[in-house]
Amino acid sequence: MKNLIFLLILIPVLFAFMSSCEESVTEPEPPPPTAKAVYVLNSTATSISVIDLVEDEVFNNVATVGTWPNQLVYRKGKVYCVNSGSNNIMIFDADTWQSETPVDLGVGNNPMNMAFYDDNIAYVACLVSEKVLQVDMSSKTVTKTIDAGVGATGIAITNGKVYVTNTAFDGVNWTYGRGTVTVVDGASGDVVTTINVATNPQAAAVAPDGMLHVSCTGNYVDVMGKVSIINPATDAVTETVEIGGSPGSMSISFPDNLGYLAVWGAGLLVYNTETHDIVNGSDDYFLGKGGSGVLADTEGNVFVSVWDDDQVIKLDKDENILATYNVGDSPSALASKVE
Amino acid sequence: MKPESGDRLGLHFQVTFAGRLEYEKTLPTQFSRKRRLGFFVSRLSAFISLKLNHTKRLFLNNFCINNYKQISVIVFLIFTVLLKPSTAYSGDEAQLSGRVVDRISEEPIENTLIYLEPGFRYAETNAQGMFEISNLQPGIYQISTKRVGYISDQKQQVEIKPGEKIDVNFYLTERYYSTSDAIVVTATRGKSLISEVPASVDVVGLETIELVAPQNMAEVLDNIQGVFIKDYGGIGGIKSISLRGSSAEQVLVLMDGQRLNNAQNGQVDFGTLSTEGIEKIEIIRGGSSALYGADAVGGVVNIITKKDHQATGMTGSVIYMRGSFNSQSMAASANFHYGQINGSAGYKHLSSDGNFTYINEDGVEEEKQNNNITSDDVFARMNWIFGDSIAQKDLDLSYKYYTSERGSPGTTDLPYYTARLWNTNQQFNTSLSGKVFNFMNDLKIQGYIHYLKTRYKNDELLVPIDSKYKNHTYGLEGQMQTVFSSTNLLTYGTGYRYDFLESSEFPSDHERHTYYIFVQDELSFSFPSSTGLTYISLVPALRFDSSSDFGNHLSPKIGGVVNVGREWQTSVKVNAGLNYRAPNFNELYWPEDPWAKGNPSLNPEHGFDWDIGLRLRYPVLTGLAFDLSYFDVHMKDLILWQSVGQIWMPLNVDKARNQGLEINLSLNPLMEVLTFSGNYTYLDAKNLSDDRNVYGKQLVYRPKNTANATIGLSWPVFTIQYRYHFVGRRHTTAANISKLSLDPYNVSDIVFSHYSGYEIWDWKISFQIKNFLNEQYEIIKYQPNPGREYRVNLHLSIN
Repeated sequence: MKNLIFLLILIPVLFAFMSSCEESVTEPEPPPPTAKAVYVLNSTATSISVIDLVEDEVFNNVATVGTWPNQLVYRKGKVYCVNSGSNNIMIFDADTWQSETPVDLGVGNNPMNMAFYDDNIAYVACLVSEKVLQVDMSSKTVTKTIDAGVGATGIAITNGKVYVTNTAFDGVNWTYGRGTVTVVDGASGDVVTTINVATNPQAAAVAPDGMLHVSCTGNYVDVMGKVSIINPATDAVTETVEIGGSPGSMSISFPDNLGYLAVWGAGLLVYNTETHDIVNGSDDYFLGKGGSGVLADTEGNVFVSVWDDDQVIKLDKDENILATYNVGDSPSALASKVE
Repeated sequence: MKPESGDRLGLHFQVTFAGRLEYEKTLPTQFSRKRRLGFFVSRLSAFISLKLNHTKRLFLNNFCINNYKQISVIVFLIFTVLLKPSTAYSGDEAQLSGRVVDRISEEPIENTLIYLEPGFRYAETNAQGMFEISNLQPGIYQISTKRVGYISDQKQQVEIKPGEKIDVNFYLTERYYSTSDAIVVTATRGKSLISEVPASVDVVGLETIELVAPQNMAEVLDNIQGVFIKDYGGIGGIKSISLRGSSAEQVLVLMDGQRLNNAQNGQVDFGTLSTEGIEKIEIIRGGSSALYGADAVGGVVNIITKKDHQATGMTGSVIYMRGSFNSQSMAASANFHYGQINGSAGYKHLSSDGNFTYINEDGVEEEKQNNNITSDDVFARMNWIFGDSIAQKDLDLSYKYYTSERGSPGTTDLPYYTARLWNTNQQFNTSLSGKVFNFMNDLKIQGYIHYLKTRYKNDELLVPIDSKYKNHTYGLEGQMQTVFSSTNLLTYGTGYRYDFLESSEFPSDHERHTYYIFVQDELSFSFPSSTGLTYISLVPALRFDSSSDFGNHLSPKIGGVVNVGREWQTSVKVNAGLNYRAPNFNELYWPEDPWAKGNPSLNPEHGFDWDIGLRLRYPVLTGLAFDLSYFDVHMKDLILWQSVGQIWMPLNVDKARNQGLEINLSLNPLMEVLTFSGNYTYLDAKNLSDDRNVYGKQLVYRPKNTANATIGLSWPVFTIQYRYHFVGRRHTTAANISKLSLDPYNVSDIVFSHYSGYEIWDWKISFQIKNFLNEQYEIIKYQPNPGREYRVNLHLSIN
């Protein structure tokens, strides 16, 4: 009997010891609200960092996101994260960082990028399903599914129309077909037309003059990067900038009329969106490193994500480094908040 | 033993043995014993000197793989020739004979080595414990004994006169009193008691395996100290192993000494390993590259198949299992033993729908689909013992075939409903072992073939995949164990392995040639004391590997063990060594695409580890066993896929340090009626990468705390076993973001078994509830595990 009592005492003691060794989990305090910030998507950490530009302070991992996060969007007090693996859009309050119920986009879509048409309607480009989803953000439901092209990836909205870039990637032969842009009427959700552009269009942005600039990556081997410029009034390509390199994401600086194209691991390609002159080509990359994300703000500054260094670097248009921010693990996409 | 260049070691041993035999045969009888001993010592010194010179050359010269290849073949041929035994002596009429029995039971002890000094005459006891040494020179001899599991303190001095016949009997004392002190073969590449090997060892025996009634090997190993099974969920889910915080590629998995880690990804899926035909599993914690080469960084798991040496005749069994998720299996096996031949064969079929419900993050019940599995498993083994006495040889042939088709369900976040995974695994293993020259030398030659075919098909991806991989491995190894004296056992050998991969994913085939040579010296001393120092051992080991695709590698190790007391046995064990993990074919040769490519310049991952352990076996509570170990593993050049410009490729960039404590406690409070065993592992697995965000953080999927407990209640025909399994928090991100970590979980299983029998029939019915508290948990993120699961097993055997 003594032995049994010994055993009955010993076992709880052992497990109490074990439980005491277990680390406790504490939720990080949300950063104080700020009027001006850059949000950083940390891809490996699957989290968001906040760079408070007012206090010049960084808050890492303030929120966690889903599988294969691809894009951050800030709009009216909320931060939206497009998770291409989780097939959803996560929504966070930009002050409290409390999350809402995500918008479920459905299995097999592989959403890559989103853009708001108005306060309620957003469009999402989906790579695997080759669709554009019209989403009612208030009810968090997909209201329309629209056929796009093969490898639908980038998205931009201007002139009441939704422009979706289609990479035409052929996964069987590892080649790229003719790059196209599908044009959708934002109000009705009907396809208006399809525009041929250069090889492997991955991103699109609107310039100060209203023209739509499409970053075409090329095939990474012998077809180099180009920027196809579309006139939204005519939905025709008006110019092609032979920028070189293999650019991915892009951002346009309105104060300086400069287009910044991010080249992973190399830096940025820079060109003038009015004159189309190349400022920094593939033999003279802007910053010379980083390029997993790029964001040009309203003051002419540019933020560059440096994946390997876990940093976001702030520069002026003359390539002077203004600040270096230590962010989370593997920073990529950026979004800005200005109030 | 010092390092030796691979092209010479085997030959030197042959020269040395040949020299000694020649000496034994031709030395004039009028030589005094001292001069005879001196002669041998001088030969031994010359031999060591030569070896040291070769050691220097090894470091001075870059080792040439082609020379090694030729020499290895020669060494094997010589080994084969040496299987012909030799008699060692001719002389006059004196004779020594006797019997060796167990001191307590007085049962005869077979295979005890009896040897005389000086003169190095020897004999081995037969099944009746009898031995005989004839043709002895007159003189005074010291007679010693050596037998695994018994204390080698039995020495007697006898004076033998011309023509005299002397009888000497020995009463040996078993080294252990506890059944937990089993004989293991993996820790030192030869039979040793757990208490006498420096390594930290666990053995899962047949009794445990049968009680658990597992459907795959992972279900047996998941409550072993230091082991963490990364289970992707369900009966058909992939299951990989981590030992002392290692990665799956850093654990070497063997079956009867045959390597199962494939060269393509370096891992073993324990979900595809069934327990049919398995006798026991030995788990060696800590680095063992000095004996087994690449990948033995975290440790070694050696699966040992059944070798039936039971009474003449035939036995058989049938096991039927029916369980949750529409799972069922039928296994049949037969064993036979006729004369010198025995063998076993068996077949198992398993099928399971596998789909199960789980509660998702939002508290909603969902079903994990596409989780089914169908598998077939065949094994056969034949063992033939031929020859008598010293000429006795043991030929062993085994074949294992496994094929399965499984759903590949993806994650709950990104499910795949139609993706499939096929595996076909074939292993052929043969070994021939026996004495060579004399009773002092055990030679084993082993050859094996491993064929692993994998196909993964997924049409739900952006780039649909239908990838096919065929891994082939062919190996040949020779190992010799030589007893130099009662205190010195040398194990040495050489081998060659060929790995070959053909795949639809790789534009060309890839192959790897590996040549190796190893040596280990067990210096052990037994003492007759019953309370003081009883045993001390020092075991240095060294292995040299030469690979065609990542160069040469030298792995030294030293271990020691000190035992105090007999009935109250206290042991202290210490180990230190260098280990490495070979880059796999995926890492070396991944075909270049726009985003990724392999790196043929990769070096192996390197590790230095040391551990110290305390082992107590005390006669408290009818048998208390307590083990405490501290381990410290430093790893560098860890292979990590990194972005180099726009391309992802593997680089030797990461560093890590794993430290931890392992505690094990077993006791039997109410004799055999109530038993308890429990273990606890604390693991501090730190990432020491230069990356600021991850430096000092816990490595992903390495729980800091794991604990297991088993409580058993036994009556003559009825047993209840309760198993408890606790795993602490696992981080899923290198940056250790708490919110993304996985909560600790507790899983409780219970098994009720009832035994009965009639004449030659025995049957057992067991009812098992796995996870009976219906814990909802994930071991891997987005990979839920099943809740409560029921299984009924019917086991019928004919004896």
